[in-house]
Amino acid sequence: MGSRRLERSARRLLDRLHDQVGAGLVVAAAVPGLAAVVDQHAAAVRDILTTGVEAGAAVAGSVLLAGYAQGVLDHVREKGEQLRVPADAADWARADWFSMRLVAVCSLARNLRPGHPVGTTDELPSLA
Amino acid sequence: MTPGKGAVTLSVDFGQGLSNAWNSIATFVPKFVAFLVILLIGWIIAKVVAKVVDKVLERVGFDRVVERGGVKRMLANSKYDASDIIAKLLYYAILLITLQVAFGVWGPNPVSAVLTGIVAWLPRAVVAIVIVVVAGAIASAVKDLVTGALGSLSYGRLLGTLASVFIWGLGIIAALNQIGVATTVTTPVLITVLATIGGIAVVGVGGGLVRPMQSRWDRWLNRAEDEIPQAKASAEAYQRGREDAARTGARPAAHRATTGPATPPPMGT
Repeated sequence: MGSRRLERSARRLLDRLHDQVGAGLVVAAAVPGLAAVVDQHAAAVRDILTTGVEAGAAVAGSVLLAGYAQGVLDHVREKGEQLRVPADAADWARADWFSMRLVAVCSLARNLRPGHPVGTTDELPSLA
Repeated sequence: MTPGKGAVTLSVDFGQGLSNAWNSIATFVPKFVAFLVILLIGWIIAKVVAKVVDKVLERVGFDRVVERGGVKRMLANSKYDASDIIAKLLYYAILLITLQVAFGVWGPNPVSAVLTGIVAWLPRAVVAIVIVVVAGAIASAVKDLVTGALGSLSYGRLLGTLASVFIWGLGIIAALNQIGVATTVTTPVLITVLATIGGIAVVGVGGGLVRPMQSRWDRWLNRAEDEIPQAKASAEAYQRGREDAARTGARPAAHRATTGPATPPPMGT
């Protein structure tokens, strides 16, 4: 992969996203139920990106994740809404679909090493 | 009768001619004396002024100031130093003015017309000299600066020399314009020099840049080639994200009950 420019901007977007909803990951680490939800979202996102993007396997995972997250964020914005990021652990338990989706993206991004395709990296933590 | 009358008229004419001659001598001699006296006084004044100016300039340190401009080197082979030259110039200037005044005694005549022209031209010559001296000082200062600043570079000295030559050239052209060497001569010279420099820059720099530019283009094209699939995949992922959000986000109430599994991947699986 010769070009790092897209990857770099994708990294930046994911970092911003992490600043926004990263708290959800921390909460999820402490609340098993929430962790399971995040994992399910993450699995869904991963499946969508591996099967729904042509040549997705050849492209850095961060680029795909960033594209996906941007799509979700833009959808929220175009509906004229703000992303309602939960404030504390109790709120996270009632977090809406968008927040959970974005937290899932963050968790996938965290497990990515730069340049790795999504499909092969992220071993889902077993739900057992 | 006739011859007598003729003789009378002749003698009268003769006498008048003589008195005319005397007249003219009588008017010429004082004029000539005045002429000589003016010349003598002027010459003395010129001598004195030249001496005084030479002394004052040397006392003031004019030679040292001028030395910085590199004029000293130009004068190295002559027996004058800079203050001598200024003194000489003043000397001849005063002599010229004296001559002009002295010839003025004779009323309007070609010689004084020429002298008037030369005297009128003198201030411009002085300004021209000043311009050359100042330009020389600036040029050597710039050369020192550039050479000092870029001394570590292999071409630092060359750049310094170029800069000083350029400033010298500007100064000389300005001086030439000042003393009335027509701009029809100097401007084309200036343009020729600038055009030559431009041409050298275009061929040298441009020619040298052909290969780096080529490799840069290669790099850009390669990068674009690499980026296109990435950009395409990114756009597709973006589209998936929007679809996903639109599909599931449309029924927000459902998300609690059906969290993860409620959002099966749209295609595949």
